[in-house]
Amino acid sequence: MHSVYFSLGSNLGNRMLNLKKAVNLLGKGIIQTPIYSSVYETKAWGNTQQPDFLNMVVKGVTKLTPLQLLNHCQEIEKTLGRKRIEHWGSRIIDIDILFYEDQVINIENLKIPHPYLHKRKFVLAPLKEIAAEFLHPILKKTIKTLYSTCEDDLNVCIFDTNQQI
Amino acid sequence: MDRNNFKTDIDLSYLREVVSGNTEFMIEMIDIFLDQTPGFVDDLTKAIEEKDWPKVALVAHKLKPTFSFMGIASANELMEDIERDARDQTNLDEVVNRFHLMQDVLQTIFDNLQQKKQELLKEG
Repeated sequence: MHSVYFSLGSNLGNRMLNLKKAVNLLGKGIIQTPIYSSVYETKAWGNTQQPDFLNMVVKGVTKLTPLQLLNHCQEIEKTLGRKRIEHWGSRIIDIDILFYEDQVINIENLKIPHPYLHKRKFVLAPLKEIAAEFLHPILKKTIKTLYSTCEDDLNVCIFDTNQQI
Repeated sequence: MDRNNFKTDIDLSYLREVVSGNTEFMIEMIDIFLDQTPGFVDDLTKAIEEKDWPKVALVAHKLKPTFSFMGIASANELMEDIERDARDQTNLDEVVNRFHLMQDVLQTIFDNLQQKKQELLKEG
């Protein structure tokens, strides 16, 4: 079994429901023993005219290979009706693989660790909750350190505590 | 995979993305790679000679990520195969053959990385 971290984001439609559906689908044969971060609300990255995002991180263990995981994530995105309106644009659900064990995967369609994760507070804030001491396998810094040195100034805060997953 | 289809090209685009184009940091990573890899290869040589397969798998596992983020896809694939078969203790003749292949190509990889480093120094 391999431990894996995903970042989930939604800023279209019923955002919390979209996250719940995605988490539910991840739990169906893709990962086991999931651990969820809180859900955070974030201004849309790269295009501040977009609706605000809800973001969270999920950790789990899996028997699947990274490429199989990628295919499953893309299936979930398709099932939930991802709409890529523009680059950095709105989406019903966006699922990225952040880490797969301490492996570095650098193939055409898949880069793990996700190349921008350490530049995005909306990833680091929820990730820090459940993996503060995890060491980034290339940068050799913990998530806690990456968070405290991250220069992303978007406002990221825990979403309505009555509506968490 | 053999010597003829083993690609010793270096692709630093992923590393460049991860470090936001910080050439100084990229050079540092290359230096660490050039500095540490021979030691790992010595460990691997010793483990192969001693037929210590769990150790072979462990060292291959350590080598894998650095080849990967340096964008040396063939070497990463080779390490993956060595790690898997050494761990499962299957195809052990192949493990040894792959190791010899790696020894054959390593100097070319080092030379290519040195060249990349020089290019980065000019950029910086």
